[in-house]
Amino acid sequence: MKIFVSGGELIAKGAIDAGVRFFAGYPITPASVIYEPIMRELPKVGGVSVGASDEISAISYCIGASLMGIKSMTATSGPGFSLMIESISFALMSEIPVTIVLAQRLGPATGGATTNSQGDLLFAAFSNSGGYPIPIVSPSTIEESYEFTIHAVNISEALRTPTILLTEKEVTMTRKSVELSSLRRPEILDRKVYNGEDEFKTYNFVALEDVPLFSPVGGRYLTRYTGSAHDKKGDLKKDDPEVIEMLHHLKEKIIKNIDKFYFYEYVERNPDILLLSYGITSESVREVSEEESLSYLILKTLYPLKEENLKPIFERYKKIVVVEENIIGSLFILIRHLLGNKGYSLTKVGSLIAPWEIKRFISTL
Amino acid sequence: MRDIFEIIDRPQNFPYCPGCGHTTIDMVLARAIFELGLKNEDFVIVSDIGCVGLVDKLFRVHTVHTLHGRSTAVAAGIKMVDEVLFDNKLKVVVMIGDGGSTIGLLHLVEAAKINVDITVLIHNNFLYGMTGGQHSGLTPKDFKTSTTLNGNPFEPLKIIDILKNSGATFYARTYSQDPELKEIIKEALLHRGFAVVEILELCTGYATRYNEIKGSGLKNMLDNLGGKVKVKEKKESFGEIYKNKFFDGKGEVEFKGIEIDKRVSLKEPLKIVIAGSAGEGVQLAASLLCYSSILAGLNATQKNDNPVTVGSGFSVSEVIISERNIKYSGIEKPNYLIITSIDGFKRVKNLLNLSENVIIDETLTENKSYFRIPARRYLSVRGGPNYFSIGFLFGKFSPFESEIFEKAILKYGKSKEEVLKVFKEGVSLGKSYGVQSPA
Repeated sequence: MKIFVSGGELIAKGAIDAGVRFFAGYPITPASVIYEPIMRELPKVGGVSVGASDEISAISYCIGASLMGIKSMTATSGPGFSLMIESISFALMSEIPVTIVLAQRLGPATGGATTNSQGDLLFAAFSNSGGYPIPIVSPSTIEESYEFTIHAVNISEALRTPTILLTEKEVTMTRKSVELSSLRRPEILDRKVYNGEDEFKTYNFVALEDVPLFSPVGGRYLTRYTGSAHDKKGDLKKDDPEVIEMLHHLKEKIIKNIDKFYFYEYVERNPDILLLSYGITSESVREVSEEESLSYLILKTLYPLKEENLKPIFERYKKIVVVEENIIGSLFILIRHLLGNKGYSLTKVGSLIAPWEIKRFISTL
Repeated sequence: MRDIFEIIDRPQNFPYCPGCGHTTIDMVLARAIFELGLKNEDFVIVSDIGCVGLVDKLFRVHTVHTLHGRSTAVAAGIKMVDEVLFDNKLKVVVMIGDGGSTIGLLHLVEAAKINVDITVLIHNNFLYGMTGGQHSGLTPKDFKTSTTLNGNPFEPLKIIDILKNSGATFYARTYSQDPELKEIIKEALLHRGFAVVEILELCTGYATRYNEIKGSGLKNMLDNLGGKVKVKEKKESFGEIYKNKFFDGKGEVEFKGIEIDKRVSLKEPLKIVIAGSAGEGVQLAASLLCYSSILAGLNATQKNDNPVTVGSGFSVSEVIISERNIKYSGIEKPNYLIITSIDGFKRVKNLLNLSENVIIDETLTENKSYFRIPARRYLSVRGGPNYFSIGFLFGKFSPFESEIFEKAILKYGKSKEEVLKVFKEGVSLGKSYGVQSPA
């Protein structure tokens, strides 16, 4: 059975299938194609979807809903994401799961609403004050937007963290015939809740990478959530060894546990050149790879990256071409230190990178 | 964590400066909560930034210490879920100062508008106490602060008036020493819907340093704002509205599948660009082309380009039809370029020389190497020029049977009969040019 859908509709469906039962948003192209179906469909499955007066309200509502134990999601684009980042820092610090869909468009500022771009990777990766890691996953096809929405929600729930689904206009707004049975549906993960008899601590962990067991606001254990520096109980503190431990925990929890959610696609063909890409540009890379018999690596977990995974792959090649649709070479910057003198950055802004442009670039190497 | 009754009447247990109004308000709130006789677990205190945010440790209830100004919005999210999905028993109390009220003004306005069932206590001490006594949006005229040493030259925001006009169903304005404060807070907590209480109080760290004022002066300051107020109205709360208007909790979300009608083969992918004017049905026509391809057992992508104002200027759809899975969805060299208006013409001019076949409205060009057809004559039918042109494409080049496109019109189109007629006329014209198999 085939369907004719946009990535935006698949993201809405993926969110609902992942168990998202609260959505708040403020419309913005090219994320509006997610906002509309989810506003329509969520109440039908016993969820709440609300329009907010701005993006700050939208993510704040999501955080409130998540505090009640409900899987929550919002969707926006660069300008709206800019408004949300303070609250994303809050969700990170207070370990509240929330999924943010960032559908990229041409930037900076309002840029070009209906023009594709992949300019927000570094922005998203380093969007919190303090510099703590936030997981970013990114679908590399329209079809994968379903699967990766579920992964994003899974990560946010399993690791009690804000998680970003990084995608772009040509994923959310392009419609494609899709074989329904070909959509991959990962196992749905729920956050682990506390059910013990001891005194509940909102941020309890033993090993630094442990994810503290959750208990909802309004539940039987009194909770203390806070975005300020705190100890395991959630008491506001600064100069205390437990607070410093807590900060290391925020990092280790993501870095150590991302292994379970580390997604990439590696095809080995030619031993000389490796094409490296992410997002919708991957589709052009796959075409070139097939036609020219080149190897490629598509990263689907974009942050944090696992250097121990990338290094051995990079070592096999003479030239590594990072292909991405932005002005500065965001992924290239993120991994440059692993590339030595083998790295080449192919970038473009304003429209999709076509397969022939990749071929032309390779022919000049 | 202390039990609620431990902080009642024990100012020594508070982190605030001696004589601070926050201590008074917290103690009154504690007594109000105690007297309501509800379980501690049924209360959530959502606190804002500033000294007011030190409240968490004092109360043995659920607490969420948020960002500056965002407390109201986080509280609203909590209560939306509690009202609609749970048993609506939580009492959500927002503790916010004058800074949070102005930073988060829109959150307060929105919460009042949708009448979400939270209680907001605005601690108005006329300045920013935690950061050094600077003036705020609620600083009274002529009031001295560290940043208005000669007196504040502006009138303060009348926050209760703003929220009253935003739809608050319980609003009150009073001062910290009001003997009725406890009863007002209790009433606010029991109110079903958005409740806000503005409480004037003094910052003993800064307000009394710069101004000749004592606690007894608060009554005058209250009068300057319009005096004591307490109004309660009855209106549906957010949860009641939501459950009535949106929430039906039935059924699962399913995509409507498209059954393959007939499997046709296509040697090479077809790349078709349709360029016309916004509001003239380009994208719908292009999607019918995709639906027909899927009915024909093929794959399709549709990539649209239009200005942000969807009803004016150009509208361009790029359609790829292929037997194989389509990866890159862009088109550099169309097999068919359909141009149905001057807006579209201007947008895709650069494709004219790159396209194998150009099907264009006859009024737009004199160039004889293009298929010049009278597409705009069918403007009276929504999307007419596009359907006529697509019909021409099917008649002349027969990528697959035109009957499959007709089925797509009937299944997924709008104004089906009229569109079908226009499409068939296009097919006839195409055939009259001599049928040619696709390149």
